[in-house]
Amino acid sequence: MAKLSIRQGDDLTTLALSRGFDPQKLWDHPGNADLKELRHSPNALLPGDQVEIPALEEREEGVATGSIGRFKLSVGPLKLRIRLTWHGEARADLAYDLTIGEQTLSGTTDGDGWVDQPLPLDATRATLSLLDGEETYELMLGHLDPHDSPSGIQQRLRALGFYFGEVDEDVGPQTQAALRRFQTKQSLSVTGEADDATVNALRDAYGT
Amino acid sequence: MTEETNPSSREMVCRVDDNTLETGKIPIVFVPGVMGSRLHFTAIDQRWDPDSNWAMVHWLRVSADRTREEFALSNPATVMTENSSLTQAQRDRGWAGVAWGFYGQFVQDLARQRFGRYQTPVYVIGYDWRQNNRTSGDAVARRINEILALEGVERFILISHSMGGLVTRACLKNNADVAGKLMGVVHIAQPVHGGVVLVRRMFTGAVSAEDGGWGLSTILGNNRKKFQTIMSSLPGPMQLMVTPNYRDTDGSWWYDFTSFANPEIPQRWEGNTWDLYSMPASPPGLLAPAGHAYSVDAVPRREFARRLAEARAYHDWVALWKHEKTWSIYSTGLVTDMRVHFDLPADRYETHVIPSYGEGMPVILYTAQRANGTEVTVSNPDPESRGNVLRRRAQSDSTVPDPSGEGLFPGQRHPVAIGADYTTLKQFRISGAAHDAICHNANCERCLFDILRHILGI
Repeated sequence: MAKLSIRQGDDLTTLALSRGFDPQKLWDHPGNADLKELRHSPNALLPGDQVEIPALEEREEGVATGSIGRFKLSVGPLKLRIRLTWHGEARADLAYDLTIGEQTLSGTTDGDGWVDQPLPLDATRATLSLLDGEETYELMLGHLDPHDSPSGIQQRLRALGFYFGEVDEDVGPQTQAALRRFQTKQSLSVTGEADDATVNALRDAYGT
Repeated sequence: MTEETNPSSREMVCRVDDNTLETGKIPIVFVPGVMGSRLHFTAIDQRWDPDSNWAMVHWLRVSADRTREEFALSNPATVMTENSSLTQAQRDRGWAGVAWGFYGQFVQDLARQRFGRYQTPVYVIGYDWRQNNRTSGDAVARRINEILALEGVERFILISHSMGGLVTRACLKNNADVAGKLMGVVHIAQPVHGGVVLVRRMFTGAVSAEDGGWGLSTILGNNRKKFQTIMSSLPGPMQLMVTPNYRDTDGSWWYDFTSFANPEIPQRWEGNTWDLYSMPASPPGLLAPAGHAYSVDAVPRREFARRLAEARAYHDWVALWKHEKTWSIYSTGLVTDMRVHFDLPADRYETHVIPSYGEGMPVILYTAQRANGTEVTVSNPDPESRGNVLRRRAQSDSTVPDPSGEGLFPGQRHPVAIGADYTTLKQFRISGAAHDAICHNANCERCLFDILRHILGI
């Protein structure tokens, strides 16, 4: 048993897969019960969060000699899922290039504006390019912070087009103004405060 | 010169789970103030180009009457499109249409602003500032529709400076299709009720010390007759005259006088300003009666009356109308004319010639009587200015007096505060920013860019 401290760019799914665990099992592990209580998503953790890494279970499987044993690891691949919107409307059927390291994947968003691509386990950055490079976005993979943390709130407000300042964890007047705009749009009570109803609505609007 | 293409931005995303990336494009359109657009007078191949001393020498050299003829709308002018210090992309967005010395810093600061992933290409719409602001408003509306078609978008943001505020209000009031696509308009230093300094110049001309230094005052007409002659050909600038809505900062009427007979009794010319300006007696009428000193010639006299009628029609039409998504920034703390006051000369005076003895010139004395019978010697019974006395105070941006600058939201004088609640706070007052330099004033930009964040984020 070991505790691992999350660094910026880490997420539990990648940690699990790179160590041979099923991500869901690691998330459900009793040693991570406090973390699960604290954080809504295993894929949006805060640097400094502690993840319990249990010893790998060893399993013995008997296989008869002379036969072919087939073992299947039941974990899904890492994925990048981004929904592109244009002033709130899905950017459907839009061609894009996703560059990860040396590799470029070309694709087209689906009818709801989704980019949905598998990611290599060691990918930390990707570049999303639209309209032949007229728009490019540097994607910092695994950098999304929890939805109720100051930086996570700013990141989501920014991604959704309500906040245009720095992600600096300082919930000052600019962030409060962005929260008011978001609350107005969502028909929440307009307080400028990151209350539970607001951060939950923010999480739902963003997707994580 | 910086390129204004949006650089790639860094997005924090998670693996595996869902993310959203909101994007979009909103052109930001800037409309400059009076004389701020660079014009090419094609028929005479002369340029109104404040960026070029070479071009401006022409206007310095020619007589007021020639200026009047060349400024006349019958002499065609186009907004200039060349500026060798700009890129083709910038010229395509109209940047060469404004005087770069006035607006270059501001336009570049605006273009450098980043609003998350929204692309905000900055367009400038120069216009023929001679013409009726309502005509200019329609020209601006046509250009906005072109910009929207070019960018393939449906919505935009407007920013105006000075008389550009009268142009943009006319644009939005007269063009419902354009107004319906507006996300928000920010007026900077708009003379909503006009400028007192303009009325005063109708009596003094552009006086070097108070009216922009020797060069500009010479171009604008440095005495009463020249100034009125040139203004008679300019419908747009004539709409900057004080409107019936203007009052001094304490709410008092602004056009007053004392008579020679009773100098201790304050009196006022009250009523509709447009009627006052047209009265045959001057003051309060603006034009000296025909045949009097400094009276303008017959043609500009007729034209002047037409300009006044147009100005009245414009203001009666636009009144205090504003688009529902309007914000305003103005500046105070600098000196300008706040009211127009006259110590009127005597109606009747007697001339005494005192012959000199020896080789000196004879001495001429003018005397006149007060109502109480005392006889007073006066130096000059018929001065050009008719006894105008400057009434200047530090309650303006050096051109637009505070009550005119805050005319769209009377009494709203909020300090600049990042993250302010712009759904209720509509007008912001800064201090010490001069009218011609307010756009790139640091505090004005801080306020403007934060309002833009609100407009884009709501």
